[in-house]
Amino acid sequence: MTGKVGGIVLLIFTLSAIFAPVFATHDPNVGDTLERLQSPSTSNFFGTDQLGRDIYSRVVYGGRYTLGASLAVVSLSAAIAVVVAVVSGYFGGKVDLVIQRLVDAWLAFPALILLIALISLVGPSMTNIIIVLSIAVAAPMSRILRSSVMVVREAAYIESARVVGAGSVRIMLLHVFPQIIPLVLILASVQLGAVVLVLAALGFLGFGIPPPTPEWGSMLSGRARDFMYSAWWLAMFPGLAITISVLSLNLFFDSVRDVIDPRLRNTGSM
Amino acid sequence: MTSYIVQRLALAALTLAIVCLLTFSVLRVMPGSAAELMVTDQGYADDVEQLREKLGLNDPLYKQWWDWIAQIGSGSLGESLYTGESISAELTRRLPPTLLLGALIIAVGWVIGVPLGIVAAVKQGTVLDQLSRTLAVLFLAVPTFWLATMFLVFSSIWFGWAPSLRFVSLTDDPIAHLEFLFWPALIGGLAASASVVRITRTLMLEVLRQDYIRTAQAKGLAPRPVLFRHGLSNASPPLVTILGLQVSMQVITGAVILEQIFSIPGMGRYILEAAARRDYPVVQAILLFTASLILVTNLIVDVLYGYLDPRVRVR
Repeated sequence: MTGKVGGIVLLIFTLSAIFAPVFATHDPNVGDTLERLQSPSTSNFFGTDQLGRDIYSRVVYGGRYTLGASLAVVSLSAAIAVVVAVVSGYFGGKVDLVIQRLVDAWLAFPALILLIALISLVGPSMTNIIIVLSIAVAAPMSRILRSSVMVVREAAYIESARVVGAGSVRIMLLHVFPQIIPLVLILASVQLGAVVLVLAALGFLGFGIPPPTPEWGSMLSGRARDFMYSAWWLAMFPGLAITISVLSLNLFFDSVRDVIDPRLRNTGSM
Repeated sequence: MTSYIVQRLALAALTLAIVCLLTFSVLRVMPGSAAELMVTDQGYADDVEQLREKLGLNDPLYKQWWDWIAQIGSGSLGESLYTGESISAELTRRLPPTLLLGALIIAVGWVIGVPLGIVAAVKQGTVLDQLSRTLAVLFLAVPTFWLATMFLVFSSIWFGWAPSLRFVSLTDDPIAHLEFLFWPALIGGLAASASVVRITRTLMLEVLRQDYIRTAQAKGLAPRPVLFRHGLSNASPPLVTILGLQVSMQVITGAVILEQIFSIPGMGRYILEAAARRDYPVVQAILLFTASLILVTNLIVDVLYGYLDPRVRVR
């Protein structure tokens, strides 16, 4: 039930992000100074900001960056986590020991502080943020995948493959990896909501995709904060967009996970 | 038990060594563009060459590593490029409000989350369960920075009131300091309680399904002892571990955001300022410090787990 509602809301968000030019009523980056800080009305559904830009259109376009980047992060982090987990779990022994101690150390850093530090080093471009965030998300994911790989490794068909002379790479690629695909998909999709939240938090703190690009988190920070007390709509709608999209992502993918594999309940969210 | 603690200690020491190595490499793998900006934007040196000299990046790598370890060993974390002052002294000033805020956030999160989670598990499927789960799902989706922003905006619009954003230190006026931290702690705690409810409920349900609970009920034990002596005491070891780990991470994350919004001069603000000013020695020091803090928390939690659950330490 909640899963379905989540799915429908998610669909609306996805469509509005893809077809942003159709859904938007104004240019998100061009403001009309005569129309500064207008309250919500029929011409500006969510009102206008301190530069006279239409907030509704900025929220619609913001979905592109926030949701698009989150999807990229989750995909890339799944790829990284799979490689780390399969290599570490399949070889075991010393290889596993070294890799896992590195993962341990990586997990010791609080995610947000690590992200702020790294983004300030490499610069806040879209690509850099996606790469850095992917590495951060991949570490805990690889832990769960690794234990699954270690179970698969003991299976009889792996032994058989080895007996007939298959190489390690071949076994990992053709025999181990396919076994963990469902788990990878579940773990990755359950992270989506959390990734949206981190992206928005980075934007809010000034370490996200730089302005004037409309991004939900950064719309709530900077100059806009000075005007929020007289223009509540500045604070209301970008945050609402984050909350509703994260909520629908969580509800939808949680119910998908429960259907596919009920044992994995509560493995999600960072 | 002793061998278990020794083993945990060795593992933590090894991880700490790798953490040192990773933070050490922050300045060494710094892209040239960042170094250039440190010169052109921030004016930390006349040119990149002088900056590298100043940061000791021209020494042989083994010497840099040795200096770094020696510096940490002596308890110093170097000097800030921006202020030229000792980082450890500044951290000592910045740490108390962050730690206090963190402790308050944990307290609020647990006080709200654990009872709600237990009630939700015991009354599984009732309205109470639905309600607490809905609240948990909702609070997991609300960004803390938005919650805090909405609180500030609407308290001012509706009641013409805003919490004071002028920081008062603990030593100057303890009461005013706690009053100052009250709202950020409440908001952070509410946000943290969501995952506490979820985890508590799951773990309680797990335990309540066990045979020994049914046995206890069958022999006619009252619901309360069943719940507390048999239920809660068996659910608490994993509860302590998971909450210990998750909460310590959340607290640091929450502190960065709440300190920014409520203008608290703590460690979270310190790293934001340092990262914005490209004051990388400070960034490096805070990375090392927070990671060590997490490692120590993990170690305590591990030892506590071994103490609470004897099965763990036998392995």
